[in-house]
Amino acid sequence: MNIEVTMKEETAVLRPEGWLDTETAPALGEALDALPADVKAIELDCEKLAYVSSAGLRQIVAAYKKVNGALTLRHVSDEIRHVLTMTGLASRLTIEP
Amino acid sequence: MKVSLRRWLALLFVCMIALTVVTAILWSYATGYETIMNQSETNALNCFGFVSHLLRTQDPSLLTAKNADLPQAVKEDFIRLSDAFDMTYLYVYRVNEDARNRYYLLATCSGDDGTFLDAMRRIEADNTDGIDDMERDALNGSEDSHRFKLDNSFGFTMSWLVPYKDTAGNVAALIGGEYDLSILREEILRQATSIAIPIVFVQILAFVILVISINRRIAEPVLQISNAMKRFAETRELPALKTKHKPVAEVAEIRETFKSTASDVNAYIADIEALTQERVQVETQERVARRIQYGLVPEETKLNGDTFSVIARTRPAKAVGGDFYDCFRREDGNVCVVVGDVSGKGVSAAIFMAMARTTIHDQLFGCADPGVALTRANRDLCRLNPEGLFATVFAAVLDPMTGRLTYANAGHCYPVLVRESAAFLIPKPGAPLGLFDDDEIADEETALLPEQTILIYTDGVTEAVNRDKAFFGDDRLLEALSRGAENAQDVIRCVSDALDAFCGDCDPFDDTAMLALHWSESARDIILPAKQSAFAQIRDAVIAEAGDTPRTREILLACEEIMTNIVSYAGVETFGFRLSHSGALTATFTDAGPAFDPTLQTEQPAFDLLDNGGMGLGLVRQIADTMRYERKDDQNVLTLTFNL
Repeated sequence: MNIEVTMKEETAVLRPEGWLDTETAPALGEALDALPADVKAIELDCEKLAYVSSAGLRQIVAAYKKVNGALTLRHVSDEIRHVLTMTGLASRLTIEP
Repeated sequence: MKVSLRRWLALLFVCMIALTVVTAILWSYATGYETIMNQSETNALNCFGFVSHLLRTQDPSLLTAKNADLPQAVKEDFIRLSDAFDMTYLYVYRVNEDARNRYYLLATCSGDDGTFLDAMRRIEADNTDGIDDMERDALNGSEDSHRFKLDNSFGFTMSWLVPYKDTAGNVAALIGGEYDLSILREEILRQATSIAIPIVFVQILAFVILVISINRRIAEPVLQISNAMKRFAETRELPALKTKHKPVAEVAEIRETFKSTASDVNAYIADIEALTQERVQVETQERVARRIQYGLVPEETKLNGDTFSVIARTRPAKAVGGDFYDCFRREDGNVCVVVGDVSGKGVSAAIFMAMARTTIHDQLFGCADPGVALTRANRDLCRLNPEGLFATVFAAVLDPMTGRLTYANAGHCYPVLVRESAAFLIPKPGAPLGLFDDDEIADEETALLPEQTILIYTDGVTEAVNRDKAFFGDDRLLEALSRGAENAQDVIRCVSDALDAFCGDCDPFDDTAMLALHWSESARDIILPAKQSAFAQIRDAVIAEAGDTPRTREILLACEEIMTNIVSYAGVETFGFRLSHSGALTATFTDAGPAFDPTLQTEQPAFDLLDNGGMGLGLVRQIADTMRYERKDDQNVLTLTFNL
């Protein structure tokens, strides 16, 4: 799975592409681990994300914890938003269009 | 062409001129010779006459004396005579008695200065030749002119000899005269030329006229025709053959024939073009009709599902026919199959077929029962049927979960049920669609046995003919299928092979359409390896069953969660997955791992712990409409249903 990582000052912008399922979630985990230690915020651009399963959601929660909640999700599709709602994550995460 | 004709004529002309000249010369020579000779002879004899007169005026003793020598005046007269007659030589001589030589009394030649006589006497004095026969003959008094050629030191001459008779009638001397032959020849040539030149002149004139005439009346018109032909071949332009001068009759005829042929050809081509246009139009119509038919009814269609498979095939006959079929899976999961046969051929039949197929499709798609669908379609078709066409149709709806078959028949030939043996399914006959607008087509029900196939076809199959004009018929159809066929592909193949064997190389007269619907028992489990990669097969199965929609993606999410749990915690090599679709989608997971009931977990862990997992089952519970767990035969069996 392709994850594009760019730094915008102290914010890391991650752009995963494709399906975030049990097989591909570890790649996101690796990308998060590879971020510099002084990163203050993480932005997850979900424009190219087609699907997310619970394994992927675990990584999202891990990212949230890594930056103490300074996690913003952008360009979230309706389906993924639905999944976030069903798992109760939507109320905790910052989701911007 | 003109060039070679001219060349040929020029050659002819030259030959004629040459011939004329030669002939003129020869002829002139031949006749002229005689004429000139005779003329010369006449001249000479006339001259001799005058000489005789001259001699007679003299004293005879002067002539007989031994060394006679006539008076100078006589000599001069003699010379004058010779000049007057243009003689080359003129002489009078006596022959001595011993006939040994001659004694010249008078002798002169042209251009004589008076010394010729003496010169002759001197020469003759030494002569010992004697006299010849002609002289002897003349001496004897012969009046003959004694013409002979002389070729001697005096030149090439023609000479004459006559005797001079004195008053007593005795031959006193011989008179001789000569004309130079070369002069004579010149004379002849002159005469020949004077004949030939006018003739040649007339010939040239005639020839020029002939050439001009031929040119104008043959060569030019022919060349014009040739060019017109070339132009006609290129542009079909009608020839306007007009020349200043009328051509000879034969060429004029060629010209007329060509003109009429050219216009005939043009008319013919115009006819053919019109005919071709017509045929092109007809062929275009047929092509359009064929494309309508093919657009709607592909040659082969396959439709597969968990518990069923459908193969439909049509083989159109030469002309566009009205056979059609339809097979699709509708929203409630049931399988609809339709086979129909429209009367007639051509564009109108193709359009009627399009309407029929579409109306029936729409009705069935909207979840009507087949009888209802056909009844409504019939009403619509009757309304829009100016040409009074009709179609026989058999429609059926299969519940792939149970095998229940609902069907309706509108005048179509009876389908065949095939398993180990074959038998007809006998529906109520019904009237074809398009005839009676108040017709009601009834629904009937049966159930397919597991592994049974129903074959629906058109009468192109049973009414196929072979070389002996025999029909394939119902019996042969049953027989072909009685050998048992395991699936839809088999059934189609059995009938096709039997038809091919029966018909041989006879072209099919009518369209044939066949549709085989095979139903097997409820689905069996697919055995999948307990690896993440197996999810792809689950994904394919779900999408094949229910398409790729937001709802099915949710369902896939739920399936993936269950599968991940099995893969991660069940500790098994393989697991079973079954998918069935009847209204709702049902997914069943079977694994031989330790007993685990996912329905027992009702609460999701706290948010902070969620990065360790635990969201999966919550998602499944929310996505699935029902979730049921059963421990059976030492296996976990989890059944989820999803409404679509």
